[in-house]
Amino acid sequence: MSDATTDATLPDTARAARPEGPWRVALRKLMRDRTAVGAIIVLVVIILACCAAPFYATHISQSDPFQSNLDGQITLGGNSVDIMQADTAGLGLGVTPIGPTWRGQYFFGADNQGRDVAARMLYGGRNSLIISFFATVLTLVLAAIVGTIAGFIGGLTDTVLARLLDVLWAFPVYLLAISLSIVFISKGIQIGPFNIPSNSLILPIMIIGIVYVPYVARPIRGQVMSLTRSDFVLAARCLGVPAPRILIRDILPNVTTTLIVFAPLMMALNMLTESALSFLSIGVQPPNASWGTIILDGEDLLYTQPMVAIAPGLAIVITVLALNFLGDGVRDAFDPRAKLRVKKD
Amino acid sequence: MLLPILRRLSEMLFVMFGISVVVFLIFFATPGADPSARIAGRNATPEVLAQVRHSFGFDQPMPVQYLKVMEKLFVSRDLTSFVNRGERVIPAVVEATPVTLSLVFGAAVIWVVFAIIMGMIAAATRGGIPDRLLMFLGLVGISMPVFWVGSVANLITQSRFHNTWLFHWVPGLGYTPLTQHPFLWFKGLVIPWVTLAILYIGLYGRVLRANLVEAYQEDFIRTARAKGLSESRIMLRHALRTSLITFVSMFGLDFGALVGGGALLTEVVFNLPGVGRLTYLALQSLDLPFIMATVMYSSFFVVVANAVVDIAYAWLDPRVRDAR
Repeated sequence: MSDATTDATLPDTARAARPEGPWRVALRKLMRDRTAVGAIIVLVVIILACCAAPFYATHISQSDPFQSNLDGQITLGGNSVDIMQADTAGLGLGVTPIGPTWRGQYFFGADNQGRDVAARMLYGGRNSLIISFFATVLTLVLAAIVGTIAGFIGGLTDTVLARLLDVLWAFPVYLLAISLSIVFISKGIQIGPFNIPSNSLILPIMIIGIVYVPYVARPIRGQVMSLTRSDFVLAARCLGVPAPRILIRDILPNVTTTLIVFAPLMMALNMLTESALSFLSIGVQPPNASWGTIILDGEDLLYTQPMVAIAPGLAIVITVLALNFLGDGVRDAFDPRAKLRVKKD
Repeated sequence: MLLPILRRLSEMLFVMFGISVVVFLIFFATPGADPSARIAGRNATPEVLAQVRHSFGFDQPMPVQYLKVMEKLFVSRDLTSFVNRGERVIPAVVEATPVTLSLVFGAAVIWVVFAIIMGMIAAATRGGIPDRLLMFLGLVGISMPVFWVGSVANLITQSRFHNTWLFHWVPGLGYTPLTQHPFLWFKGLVIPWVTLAILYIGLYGRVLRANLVEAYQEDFIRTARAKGLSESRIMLRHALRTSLITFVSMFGLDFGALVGGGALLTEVVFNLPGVGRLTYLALQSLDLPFIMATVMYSSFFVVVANAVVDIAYAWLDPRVRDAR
């Protein structure tokens, strides 16, 4: 972003003093966007709730969300109630877990193992958030490296990298993720001293992080290419500025803006992908939980205790929706082209 | 006209080759386990392992292994499953294809119709309450996991509200072939179609609205207004037609991606025996030959579909067609 464009958006009084940097301008714009601020608040509440998972499990739900509790009882309205209740319909065999109590214990009811769904959701939310966040970081870092190298160096390096991105891009996301998962999830990874067990969160982070690299790397490559050919880079070249300095001072700041615009939207996409992989039982592995695995647990109870599947799904929808709203706000605040569009409207 | 087509086709072949290499590397050259043990599945006897090792050429160099696997997949097509002893993989995939196509075709019709309606209403009332409401609903549609929507739809139509007038017509989960009973085919697919379409209605509706709003800034719309054309005619004959360009090119890509694996979750939730559900079942039993075959065939389909869309697009667009 050159100084000329930021100057134009500033009031006359500010221009006399040292002009505000483009970051400050964008941040201020974001904070004025009521929807974006609302989305940030929702996300902060969800993150704090998930951080409080151990507190919730010990003090409010008073149960271990990773231990099956088939014979347990809780006190409801002065009466002692079984967590796994005998079926009254049919032959009266089998048991159904307790439904939502809407109280501290078993707020959303219990799953097939008699575990507190609400407590599991908080623990699972931690995993869903961690995976989608770090997968996003991984995607953006890899995409920035590949895209910048390809766009800035050009020539043969660019051709090879661009072809590689083409191949990965043409690969349907879920199929690539499934192929990678099936090979790694069953046994984990052992390479020399590195040993990643199959239930480690690193595996889904890596898989999800890698499959979306082309989606970000391709636009970044295009952006870097057009920047490299732009007049101000040519001017810098003519002045004898060395290439690494051009890369750091002129090109990377522009790429960073693109990455920031991509970040919330990628995280939303990653959260949906994580839940889908976990639902296919190739994401987060037991005994760990994520919102996707809890929906899978709830599939068996769908017609008897639907809350087990509905509640984590709602958590996903609210989080992803907040991320998408934040993404819209960030794009409007950071992307100068979006700025022009809004003015025209 | 011929040269760009040839260029696009050679690009397509290159990408197909690249994908086959990536799949081969993922399944056979990743560190950690013996590839023949992966192919043979759990609890394979040493004889079976030795047989697999020999028939896939795991005692030979990598390029030979690659060629042998590709031959099994595409030339002799005799890849067999080791989990379901002796089941031929490729015919099973071919048999499942019509189910996936039925699902995606119907969903595509629904999402195109509703997305166009949604985009037009939103653009016509831009800034107003209908616009904001529709765009919010679109974003909600994009933010919902499709398998969860499917589960909730099942809960409503199969269980909670099944015995009311609203959903008593919904048959049990499963698939009836079109040739066997067309009406039952249709009834059984309505809910899966809608479930799969929701995400795309949201996505396409939002894109179309943005393009329409942009088109309304153009000079030719002002000209149309100055000529005294009615608002509906301006929308339908002038704004919509130029705005559909992105819509159409997105449609080709998404349709291909859905047939090639994107509909997997919907098929699983609604118990539709398509290619996606085959992949899912193989996934549950760690049946690697099956997964490899569905992954390879589906991604090849996507690549070919994308190339066809590009060529059709170039042929339809006079700027590209007459450029040479």
